[in-house]
Amino acid sequence: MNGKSVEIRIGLGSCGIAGGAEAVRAAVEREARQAGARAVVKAVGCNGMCHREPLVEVVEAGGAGALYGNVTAEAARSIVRRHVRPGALMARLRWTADRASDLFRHSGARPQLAEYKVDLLSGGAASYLRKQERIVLENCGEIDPENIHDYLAREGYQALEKCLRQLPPAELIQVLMDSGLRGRGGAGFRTGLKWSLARQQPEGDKYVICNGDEGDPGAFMDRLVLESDPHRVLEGLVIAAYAIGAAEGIFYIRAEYPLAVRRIREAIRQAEERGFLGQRILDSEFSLRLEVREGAGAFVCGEETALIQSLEGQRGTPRLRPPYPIQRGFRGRPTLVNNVETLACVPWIVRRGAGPFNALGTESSKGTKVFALAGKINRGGLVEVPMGVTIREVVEDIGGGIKDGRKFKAAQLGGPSGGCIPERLADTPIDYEALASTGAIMGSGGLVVLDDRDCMVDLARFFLHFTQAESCGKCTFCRIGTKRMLEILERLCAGHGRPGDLENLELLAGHLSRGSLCGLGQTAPNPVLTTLRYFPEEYKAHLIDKRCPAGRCTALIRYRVTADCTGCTSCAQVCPVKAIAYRPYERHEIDQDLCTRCDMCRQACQENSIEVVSP
Amino acid sequence: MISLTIDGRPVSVPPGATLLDAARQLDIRIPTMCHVPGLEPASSCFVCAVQVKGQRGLSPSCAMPAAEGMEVDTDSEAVRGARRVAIELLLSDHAGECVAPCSARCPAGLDIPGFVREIVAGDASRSMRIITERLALPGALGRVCPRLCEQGCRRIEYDDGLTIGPLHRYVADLDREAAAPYVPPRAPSTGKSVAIVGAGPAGLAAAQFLLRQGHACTLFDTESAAGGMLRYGIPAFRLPKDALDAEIDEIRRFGAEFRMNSRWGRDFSLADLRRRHDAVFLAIGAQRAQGLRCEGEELALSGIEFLRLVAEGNPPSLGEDVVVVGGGNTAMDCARAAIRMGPRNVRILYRRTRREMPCLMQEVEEAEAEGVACEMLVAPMLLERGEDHRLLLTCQHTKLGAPDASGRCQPVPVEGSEYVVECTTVIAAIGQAVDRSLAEAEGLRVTGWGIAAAERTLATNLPGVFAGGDAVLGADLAVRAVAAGRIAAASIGQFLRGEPVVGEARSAAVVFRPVDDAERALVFRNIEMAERVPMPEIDMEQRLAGFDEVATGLSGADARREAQRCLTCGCRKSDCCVVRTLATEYGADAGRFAGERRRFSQDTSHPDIIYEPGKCIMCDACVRIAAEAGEPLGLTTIGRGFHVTVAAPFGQPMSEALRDVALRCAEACPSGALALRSASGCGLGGGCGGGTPAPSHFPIL
Repeated sequence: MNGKSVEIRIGLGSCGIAGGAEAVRAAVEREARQAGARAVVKAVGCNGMCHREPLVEVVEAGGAGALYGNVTAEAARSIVRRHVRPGALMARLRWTADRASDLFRHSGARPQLAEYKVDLLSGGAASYLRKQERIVLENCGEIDPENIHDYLAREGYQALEKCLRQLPPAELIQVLMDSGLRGRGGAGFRTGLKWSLARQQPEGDKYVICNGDEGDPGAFMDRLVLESDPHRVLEGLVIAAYAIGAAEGIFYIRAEYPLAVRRIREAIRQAEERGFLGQRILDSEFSLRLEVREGAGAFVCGEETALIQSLEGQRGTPRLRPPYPIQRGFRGRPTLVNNVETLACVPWIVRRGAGPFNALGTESSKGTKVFALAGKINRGGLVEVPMGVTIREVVEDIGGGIKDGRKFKAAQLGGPSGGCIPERLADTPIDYEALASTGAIMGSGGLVVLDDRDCMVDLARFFLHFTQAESCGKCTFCRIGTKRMLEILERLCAGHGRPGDLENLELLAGHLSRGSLCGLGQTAPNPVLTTLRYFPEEYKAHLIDKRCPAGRCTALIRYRVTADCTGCTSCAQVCPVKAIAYRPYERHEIDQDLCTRCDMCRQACQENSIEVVSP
Repeated sequence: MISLTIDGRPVSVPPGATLLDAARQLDIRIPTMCHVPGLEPASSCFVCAVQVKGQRGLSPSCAMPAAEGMEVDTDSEAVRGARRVAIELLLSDHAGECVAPCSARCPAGLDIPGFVREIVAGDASRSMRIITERLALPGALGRVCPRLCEQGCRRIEYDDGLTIGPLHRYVADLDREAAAPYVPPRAPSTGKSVAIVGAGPAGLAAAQFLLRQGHACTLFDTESAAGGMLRYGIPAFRLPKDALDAEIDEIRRFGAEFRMNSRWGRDFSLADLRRRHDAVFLAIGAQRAQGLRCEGEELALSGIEFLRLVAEGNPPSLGEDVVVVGGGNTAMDCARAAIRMGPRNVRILYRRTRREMPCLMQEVEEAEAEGVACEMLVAPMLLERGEDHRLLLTCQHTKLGAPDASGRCQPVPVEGSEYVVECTTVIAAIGQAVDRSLAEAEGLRVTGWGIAAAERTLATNLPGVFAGGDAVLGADLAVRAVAAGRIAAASIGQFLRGEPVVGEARSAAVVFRPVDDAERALVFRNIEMAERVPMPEIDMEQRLAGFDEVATGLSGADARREAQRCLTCGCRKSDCCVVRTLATEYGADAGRFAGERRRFSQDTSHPDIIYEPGKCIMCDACVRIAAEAGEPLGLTTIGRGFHVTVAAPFGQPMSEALRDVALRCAEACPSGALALRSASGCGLGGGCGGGTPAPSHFPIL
C-alpha cells in the first residue's frame, strides 16, 4: 500500500458481483479518478460476510479505516468523498462544492453513510467476527487475488520456501501429522497419513490433484477461497506435491466457477513467472507442472475415483476402493487428492509449525473449519470457527440467531450427505466424531439453519431429490433405491403416504448406505435417517393425519384470513390465481379451490392476518 | 499368497485375486449379474455383495481384492437380504415381462408364444414338443378348454385376441396323424410304481409325467373306459370319442397300465394301494351330482348321469318337453345333447342372469343357435308328477341381490311370482361334489371342497399319498386337472427319490402392463391389424341330426395365418435370464418396491439382436465388451440418476454401435435387454442357447 494514499477494497467475489459490486467498483473508480491519484482501488475477494454484500472496506494510512456493507453505487461515491483527500486543486474545489450541496439536499433523498457502516467493535458484525478464527480465510477480502504481490506481502510462498530449504518431505509430513489436520472434504481422513501413504508408494510418476469440485447445494467455501486467495491453495498443492514426490498436478475445478478457474489460471501464471512453480522451483531439485481442468458439473465427480475417471476422459462414475487413488489413481499411478480447504490450511501450518494449529480444537479434530452459514439465520455467510465450538454458538452468536424471532428447530450439516441436528442437540461441538454420533457429518461445510416453519419431511425430500438426480446410476441401490425413497417422501408430502412407507424408507436407507460404491450413495440416506430419528412425530403426522405440522407441504395446508384483516386488498392484488376477491374494507376470503399455496398473500399482508393452517 | 477365510473355511489365493475368485476356489457359489470374466469389474449390481468382517458396508466380491486375514461371509441373512432387495429394486424398474400374459393366465402354464411360433415356422413336431412339456391331452383340451389364456391376449387391446385352443388342437391332431408322432423322452425305469386312482384328465396327466421320469403307473377307474369327465361329462359333438381315445392310447403306449371297472372301496382300499405301490395319486374327480334342492328333486335326472348315458350310447327317453336347470357348462352340454335327441322343446332355467353364468358365453350362443331357449332369473320350488306321467315344475322368479363372497349377485326370490312349467323331463345340472366318505374313512383329511392337499405339492396328510384335480378343488376346469396331474408327478418324483417334496420349481415373473397410450402404441408399433381366423363348423342341419363334432378344426393354412397374428409377448431370454433366475432363488417380490418405471422401447435396427432398454440393469457388460473389442462406435451410459440408460453415442442405432460383438453382448447380457433376434424364449434354447425347460411361473402384480 502506498503510504500516503487510501486503499479502497471492493469485494469482488462471485457473491459480491451478484450483489452489484461491479457497479460499486465503477462508481468508486470514477469518483476516485475525479479526486486525483491518492486512492488505490483494489478488487479483493470475499471476507465471508455475504449477508452484507457488496462490501467496501477503506484502509487509511496508519491502519485506520472503516467497513461498509450493502453498498450502493451512490453510497460508494459518498464513501470515497468521506475518506479520500482530493489531490488536484480543481478537484478539491469541486468536491467542496459538491459536499456543500449535499448538505442542502433533503436528507431522506440520499443515503446517510452511517447506515452502511459496519461496526466491527460492537453489535452484529462484531459478534459475527468475534468467535471466528481465521486460518483458511486469513487473507480473504483483504488482498487482491489476482496480484501475487499482495499474497507475498502476507507471508505468501514462505511456507514453500521453508519446505524446500529446511524441511525434507519426511519431516514435512511429520509436521502435517503433528498438526492433526484432517481432510476438509467431509470424510476427515488424516492428511498427514494420506501424504505419508502416498510417499511410500513405489517410485515413478505420481500425481497431486486439488479437488475443487464443490457440489453440495448451498456450500461455497471452496469457491470463496479459490476466488479470494488462489495462491494460498496453489502453495498448498505445491507443498503436497513436494511431500509425496509428484511432478505433475491438476486443479480440478467445476466449470460453474468461472471466476475461480480464471484466478487459479492467473495464479499459476504468476507463480511460474516467479519461480514458485515449474522447473527447479526456487532453484531446488523439485519441479512441478500444474494444469487446470474444469469439471463438467456432475456432483458425483467430487468423489475422488469419479473425479479421476472424468480426468481420464471417461464418464464420471466411482469405482470400488481399494485400490485407493493413493495406490492406483490417475493414469493408474499413485495419486493424492486433497480438498481446497485442506490445502489452504497447509501453508499456515508449515509457516507456524504444527503447534499453533494443533492447539485449536478438540481431542480428535484440530484447527478450524469453514462453514457456509445459511437458512433462517440473521447473519449468513462464510464463517471460520475453531473446532470444538458448538453448533449453538455458530447459530446464535455468529449467526445472530433465527430470523424474524422464530424458533430454532434444527441445523442441517453436510448437505445431501449430512443430517439434521435438532435444537436440543445444538450444544454438540464441531468435531468429526461428535457430529457423526448424531447421525450427521462434518461434511464439506454446509450449515443450513432451520426454524419451526421448516418441514423435516420436505427437507429430506429436497435432499433426496438432489442425490437421486445426481446419482451416476451405477449402483442398483443408489439408482433405484433413492428413487423409491424419493417416491415415498413425495407421497408423504402430498398426503398420500401408505402403511409400511416409513418401514420401507428405513429399510432402503440401510441397504443404500451399506450397498453403494461411493460416498454419494452411502451417505444419501443421512438426511432421511436423521429426520426420521429426531422428528418421527412429523413423519407420522404426514403419514397418518395427512398433516404438515410446519405448514410447509402445500398439499397439506391451507391459507386462512384471520379477524385482524383490515380489507386493504394487498393480498387480493398479488394473488396470481385470483383466489382472493377484491373487496376493499371487507375481511378477505381465500377460495381454497383456486389457491395454489404460493404464499404471496401472506408475504403481502401488512397486518400479518393471513395464517397457514394444516388441519 | 494371501490367506483368508470364507464362510469359516481357510483359502489361499495369489495377490490380486478377488473375493469372488477366492470363493470359487472353495466351490462357494456367489451369484453375479454384472460380472464378466476377463473384463474390469463394474461392481454395480451388488448381487455379488459379501460381508467382510469389520467393514460397515457390504463389498462387491467381484472387485474386492482378497487381503491377508480377511474373514468373509457370503451367505449370511444380511447378505441374502441385501441381494434380495437389490433384485427387487431391479424388478421394480423392468419394462418387460418374463412370461407372455396368455401363458401367465393358463393354469397349466403352457408356453403359448413358443408353440405358436413353431406353427409359423412350419415345425409341428417341435411345436408338439413345446406343448407336451406342460400339457397332457392337448387335442382334447384344445376342444373343451374355456381358454382363460385368450382373455389374457395382449392383442385384445388392439384388434382381436389370438385363438389359442384351436391352435394346440391343430398341432395335436396333425402330430397324431404324422408318420412319427412325437414321443416325449422317457428316463430309464426306476423300478418304482405309482397307483393312480381315477383315469380322468388329472390321472392321465400324472401318468404321462410320471412315466417320463421312469416310474411305472397303474390307473384304477370305476368306468369301463378311461377319460373321466372328458369321456362321460362332455358330449361327442364337442369332443369326439376317437380324438380322446387317440390321446389316451398314446399314454397307454407310453407305458401306462389301466385297471378299469375297478372301484375304490369295492375292489381295493387305499391301504392296499399303499402296500402294493410306492406312491398313490388320488384323482377321483367330483362325481356326486347335486340335486335341485327342492321338494321332489328325486324326480329329476342328474346332468352328469344323463351325459354318461348319452356317452355310453344308451340315452334315456326324454319326451317332448325338456327342462334343464343350471347355468354351467354341464347345463349347456345337457341342453345341447338333449336337443339332438329330437324333443319339441328344450329350455334352460337359470336363477341369475347371463352375466353370472359360469359357462362360456360362446356355449350359450351355440345352444341358442341350435334352438335351446334360455330363461333367466328363475328358480325351481317344487317338482311333482302330474297326469300322464308329465312333470310339473313350480318355479319362482328371482331378482339379483347383494354380491356374495365370490362377488356374484345372490338371487332373491320374488314373492308371489310362482308359476308352473309342464314338461316331460327335468335335468338337474346344478353342480357336482366330491364324494369324500371313502377318503375320510381311510384317514385322509378333507376340506369343504374335497380331499385336503397342500397347494404347491398336492401332498395329503398321508405320506406318499397325493391328490389333485376335481378331487381337491371340487368340479373345476379340465386344464386345472391336467396341471394338477403334472404338479403331482413332480412331487411324487421327489418323494420317490427321497428328496424334500416341494412341488414344481416355479420361477419369479415380472408382469408388464403398458402405462399409457403412448407406451401401448409402442408395443403395437409395426403390427398390422388382422382379424381372428374363425373356426369352421358343420352346418346346422348336420349339427342337429346327430353327435358329429361341431367345430371341424383349422386347416394348415388357417392355423399358420392365425399363428402369425401372435405378438410373441414374453421375453426372449425367459429361460436363461440371470435376473429372473436369481429372483427365483432369492424369492424376490417384484411388486415390493413398485413405483415409476422406465418406458418400454425397442431398437430393432440390428440384424442379429434386439435391444430393449427398459430391461437393462446398467451392468455395463455390453459397454465394456464393445470398448474392449475396439468397436468404432460402441455403447455408453447416458444421463444421471434413475433415468440413466445404455445407448449408442450420438443417438446412433444399435446396428452402428455393435458391428462385431453383438452376439457376445447378447450372450453376456444378464437380462432380456440384449437378446438374439432368433431367440424364442420357448424353453428350447435360444436367448443363450440353454436347453432347460421353461419353468412354471407365478405372476406378481
